[in-house]
Amino acid sequence: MAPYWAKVCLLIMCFGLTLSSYAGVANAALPPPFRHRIVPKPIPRQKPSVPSIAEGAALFAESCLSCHGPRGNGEGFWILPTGTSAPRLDNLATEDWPAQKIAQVIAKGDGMMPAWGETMTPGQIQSLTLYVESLNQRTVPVPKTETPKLKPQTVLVRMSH
Amino acid sequence: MSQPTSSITKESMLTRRGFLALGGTAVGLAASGSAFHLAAYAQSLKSSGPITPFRFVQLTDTHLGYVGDANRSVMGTITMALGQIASLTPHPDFLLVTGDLTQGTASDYERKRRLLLFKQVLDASKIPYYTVPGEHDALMDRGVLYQMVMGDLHYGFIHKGVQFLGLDNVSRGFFLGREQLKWVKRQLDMMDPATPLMLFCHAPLYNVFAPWNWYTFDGAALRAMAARFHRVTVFYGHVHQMMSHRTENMAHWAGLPTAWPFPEPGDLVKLQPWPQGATHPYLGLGYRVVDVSASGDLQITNLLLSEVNHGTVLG
Ligand code: HEC
Repeated sequence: MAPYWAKVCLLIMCFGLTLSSYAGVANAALPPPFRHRIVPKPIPRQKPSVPSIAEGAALFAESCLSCHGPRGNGEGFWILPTGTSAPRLDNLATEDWPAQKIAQVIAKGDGMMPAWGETMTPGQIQSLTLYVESLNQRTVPVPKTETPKLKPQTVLVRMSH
Repeated sequence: MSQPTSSITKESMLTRRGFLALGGTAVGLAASGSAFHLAAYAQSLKSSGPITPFRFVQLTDTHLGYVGDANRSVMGTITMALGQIASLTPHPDFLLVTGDLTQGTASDYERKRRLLLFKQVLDASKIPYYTVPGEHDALMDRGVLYQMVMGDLHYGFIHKGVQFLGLDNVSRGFFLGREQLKWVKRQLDMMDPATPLMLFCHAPLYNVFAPWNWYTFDGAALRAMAARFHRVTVFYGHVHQMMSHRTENMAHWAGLPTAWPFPEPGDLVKLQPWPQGATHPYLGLGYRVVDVSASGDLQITNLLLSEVNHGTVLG
């Protein structure tokens, strides 16, 4: 057993361990000499999921409440660049705003309403549509065949913005 | 896990007088970290061409066209800043203007007029400049008029060995969007990760406070794309105050506005400016001087307008 090789092996192992400790935390602050050797794990923005009011509520709190206010009450925390406010989203008449039209305006935008489809997935737009619908008294009741998640009252009570 | 040892950035909040007293030169960088990292980093930089030291200035949130109590002469504060910048020694190579050049308006005619006026004012300063849009310039028409007057919504350039990317996270909402991210990825793929990368945009690329739209919805996707770069610095505006923050390999710096200051999130529910004070009209207004050294280290100096005689602009 040559002690020289043992030492070399040990060195290599130590170096490997150091590198692998970096790899595990690709997002942590890495010393510059190694940074470009780490293949960054893309930060997943969302897991593929079934569109739900709950996901819609979370997305709404992050991206919509600034302009449309909590639960779309029209009392946003941010004034539009023109000095006006974004409309309320809790009084959309079913005849004027079928789900498909709500989804369309969220995805494509309208005036100062952002075109969220350029960054959100169709699933996320779907969730937001469900959530916006849940803020309104829909004249056509939600069909009984849908999942229990779609009962807006049960979700709304727990929501806090 | 240690912090990136060779990303040395020194920040100081100097008065203009104090800054000039230093002769405008860097105040000596405190080198931290082990010699090993520094040597290895210096080695990797050599492969991507040398950096010639230079200075640039970040100007932001000038809101030209605003009429109201928050700033009773936005033209006055822009001209004041430009006047002070013109007398800096060494002279800055260029200005980075990080959005909200103009105050938003529903009228296309008026928006174009304000943008043209802003361009005129900057052209007259004789300092080269690079701008990105703010939501006040671009949200109403998705940047159509901004592009007509000021140029591309996003673009890149290399200056004296440093890579710059100007980004648009406002014209279609507070996000970069898949299209732009694809473009960014193509740019980054062509770049040497050892060369310093500087990004400039209007809204912060991390979540400062989403209820006030102080965030970028897909900022994390961009940060992941730039993860292999040794050092990335982001200059942004939008929040109307000095801020600094660190995410992974990125340092984020919000610059002083020339229009009006905003408070930190939490002090107000609804984001609104307050009337400009009679005793301290230039409270929180200013600009930022950035000195890039040959090793890519940054010396960041925030300068306040208030050092100038108050009588000169508002009487
Ligand atoms: C930057 C501010 C802003 C943000 C953020 C924003 N909106 Fe809007 N939204 C508007 C404006 C302004 C309108 C009115 C558009 C028009 O008619 O010109 C609008 C309209 C709408 C409408 C149509 C209602 C109507 O009466 O016109 C829906 C639905 C809507 N937004 C949903 C959303 C959702 C969901 C989100 C979050 C993903 C969101 N908005 C984020 C500004 C915003």
